[in-house]
Amino acid sequence: MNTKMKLLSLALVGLCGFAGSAMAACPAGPDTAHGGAWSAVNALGGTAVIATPGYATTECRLDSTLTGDASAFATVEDDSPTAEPSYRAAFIINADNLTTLGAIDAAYIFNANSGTGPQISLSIVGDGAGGHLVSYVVPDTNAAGGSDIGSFPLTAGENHIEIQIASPTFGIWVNNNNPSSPNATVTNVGGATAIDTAFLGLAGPTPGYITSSNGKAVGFDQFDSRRTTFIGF
Amino acid sequence: MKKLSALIALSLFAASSAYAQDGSSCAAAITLSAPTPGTVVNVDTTTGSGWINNYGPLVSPSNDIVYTFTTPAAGATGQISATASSYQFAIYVLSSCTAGAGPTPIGATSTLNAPIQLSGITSPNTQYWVAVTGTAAGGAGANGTVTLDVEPTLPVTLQGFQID
Repeated sequence: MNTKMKLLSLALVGLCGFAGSAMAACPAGPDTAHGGAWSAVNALGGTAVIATPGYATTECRLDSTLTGDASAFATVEDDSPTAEPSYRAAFIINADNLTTLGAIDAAYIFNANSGTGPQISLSIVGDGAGGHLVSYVVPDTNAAGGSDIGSFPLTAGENHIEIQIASPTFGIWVNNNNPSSPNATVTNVGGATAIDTAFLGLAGPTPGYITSSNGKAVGFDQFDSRRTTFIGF
Repeated sequence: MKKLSALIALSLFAASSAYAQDGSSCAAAITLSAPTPGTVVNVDTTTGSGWINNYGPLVSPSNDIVYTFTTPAAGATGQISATASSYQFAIYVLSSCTAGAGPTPIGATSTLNAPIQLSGITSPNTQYWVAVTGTAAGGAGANGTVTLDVEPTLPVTLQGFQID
């Protein structure tokens, strides 16, 4: 099982990132059916497509664009995790196109699900001053409302986001390459944290996102997932 | 001479609850009533608690005070706006109410005098909730007062009359 995840990780970097390969060609689509590494593309009221160039000197990236209503989604799906009790994922996001995203305008950008539903949800939201934040929601059986939340500012351009969930601990690193100092840690993660599926890309926009940012692409690149070892950048 | 005395009440919103209505839970959502157009509702989230952690993709680190209303048979065509606030508020219109993980709003505003129009986002004879809270950018300490202006374009509902 460990080998499977590691192989997928390498495949995702290799096919979606193309680091250091001037000869590489981008796949026709993100999923395996089109030469990519993702298990599936899920798009309704939006698109999830390969675009060029990539980030961090790679050649290809994923562009996720919403064009529909609050039920719209434009994601890629990774089915390689198998009830993973310890799960780590990292990716680059560039949301510079969301120039008018307001403080109450948001959409999901990443979900890691167990068999019972989302265990980690990340979203992007405006900060009310032209910038963006990444927010997280994770289950916490000791917290009011049954979950913990937090938000961290993103910078212009490329942002590195890494998360780890290994019950009862959750950690998040935002543009932070220090494995021992996550930006936030939750120590009472509850629920069924055995991760089975991950989704990367935009989904579930708020009314303000639809009004302000529909049709604008958000770029993703260099997705990697594994069980324990810090990914970094 | 006959004297017609009509008691006409303008009532867009009506709901009842057996709980103390302090907005601190779905069951205790405060009935949002607008007996006349331009009804002012004063909200103070410093008296509340953070019992809804997120509204779909919008995290809510601030306290949450929740109101509820039920649209009339003719539908709601009014608006809800904030005319004054002591902090960076967020107002969400919700089609359901859940503690912890709330639903994605169907209408929202975080700007003074930028109303949420109820027409087009609500259906007749349906209960809705209005959450007054803060934004992710505001953080956990962002609580304060908000003055709501409720401007229903009301159907006139004849509640009772008498003929002397």
